[in-house]
Amino acid sequence: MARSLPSKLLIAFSSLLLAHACYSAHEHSLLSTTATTPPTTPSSSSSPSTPGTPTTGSSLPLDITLETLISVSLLLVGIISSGWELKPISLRNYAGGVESGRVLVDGQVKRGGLFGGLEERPGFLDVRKQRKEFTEWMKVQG
Amino acid sequence: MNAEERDLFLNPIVPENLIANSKTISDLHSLSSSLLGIAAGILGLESYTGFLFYLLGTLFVSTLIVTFVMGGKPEVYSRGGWKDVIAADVTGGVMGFVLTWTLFFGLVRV
Amino acid sequence: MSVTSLLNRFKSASANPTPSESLALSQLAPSILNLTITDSPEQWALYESLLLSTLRTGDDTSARLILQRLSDRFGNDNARIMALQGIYDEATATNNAQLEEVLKNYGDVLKDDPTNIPVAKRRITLLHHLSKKSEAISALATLVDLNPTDAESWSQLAQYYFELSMYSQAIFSLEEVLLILPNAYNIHARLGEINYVAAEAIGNSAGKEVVEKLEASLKWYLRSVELCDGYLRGYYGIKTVTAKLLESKISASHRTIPEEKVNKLNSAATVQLHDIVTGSEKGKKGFAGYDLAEVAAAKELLETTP
Repeated sequence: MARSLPSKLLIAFSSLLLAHACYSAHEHSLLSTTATTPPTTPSSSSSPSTPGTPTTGSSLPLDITLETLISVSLLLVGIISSGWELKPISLRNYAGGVESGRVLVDGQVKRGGLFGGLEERPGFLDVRKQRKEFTEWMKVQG
Repeated sequence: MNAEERDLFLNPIVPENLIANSKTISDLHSLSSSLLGIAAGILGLESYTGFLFYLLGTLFVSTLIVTFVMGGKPEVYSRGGWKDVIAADVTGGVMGFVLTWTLFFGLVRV
Repeated sequence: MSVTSLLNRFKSASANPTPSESLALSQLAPSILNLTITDSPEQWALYESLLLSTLRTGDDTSARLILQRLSDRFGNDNARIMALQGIYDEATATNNAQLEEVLKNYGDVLKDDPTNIPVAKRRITLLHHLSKKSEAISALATLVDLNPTDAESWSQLAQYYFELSMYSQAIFSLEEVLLILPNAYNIHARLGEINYVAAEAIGNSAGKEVVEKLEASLKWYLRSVELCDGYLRGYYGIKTVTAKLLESKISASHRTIPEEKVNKLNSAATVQLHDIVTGSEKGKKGFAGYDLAEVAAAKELLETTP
């Protein structure tokens, strides 16, 4: 999986944004608890005693909500667009891709295709013939 | 030989690629479920709203996968096409989602 | 460089590399031999590939050292090591007497253990090399009897039969390969080629037999491109065979495939070949896998036939 630079930057930026949103939400909830504490007694503040009052969640300011949603969306885009590779499942597409070099096997173009071993036949390697070819080639090269 | 067998015979599939692809897709889903959980926790969503958020988020993630990873052609990379992309690893995804959801809900609201 | 990246370099070369490729690979020997031995399967695979490369280029001292390390690790009685030792002996033999000696050794090993497949394959190759073709074929036939699911042996047998122009036996052997690996599209194309050559070999150019062979060839080629999209070799074959079928006008009465269809196939193959040739010549990204010699041949075919 090779991450491209734009998606790396996107991931870094949106992670920061998300962390900021998280921090803001935390601060907001701290502020709202301290702000609502004085009128009520400390013992009753922990339990939602007053019916009808909005919970801390729904009272989250619009800017923090938007920041959270946007940062998570961007983070998802960044992660998903960062070079995940799938391979065609039908043999026709896959084999064709390997032949033409569109699909890589182990990260490189596979010479001879998917069933190349059947025609190369390493078990029946004629080493003397190849050695002779090599010495002749060396002679030509000088 | 029924129609499906005949089709598989004429146009064979590569099982290794099928397995590798569904693994990649479910990895992506569990990763993004955790992120969605973080968002749900920060937003302080509760009960059904949270799960609704998860469902919408999953749809969004599936759209991203189909556009970015599959180049808009899901049927080339998974047998069921769209359906498979959305339904991949739902239970595992929910687990990750609930975990980070509750964690961040607690972290943000002291 | 790491073991994996080195191994990938060897893998990207074929079993029959060009001399310059062999030289480059064999020159990696010092750096590979200096790596510490981690006893990982990749490293031993790398050693094995390097051994073959050094033997090709005549770097026998390195080869000796590699073989020594391999046999220290796996023992001298390991079937694969025995075969590698045999390859070394074959490569370094200086005269025919020594080769006969190696052959005799193989025979002795096989007498003790007839199921030693790697050594059996070595013996067959050496027999073939020493021009004892019929002996090689009968040994190979025994081997496929013993081990009928080995596609490599069947494929080799087909090659030996083909060299002796025994086309129907070659076709039979390749059909055995397809029973083991029904999706091997290159074997389908090979069957197409052999059927075509067999048709050519029949002197009388308009007989029923010729048309039958050509049509069989066409069918094999068609299946090969059905299994593999954009298979250059398959389309090349389709174009050649259809051109041949269209050319022999007299044989129309023997044909089972209507002329109109043959015409259509011919033009479809032309279009595909044209795409591949132009794509490959422009160096487009999705065409890097095609063999340049094959592309050149396809280009020539397109230029000579309309």
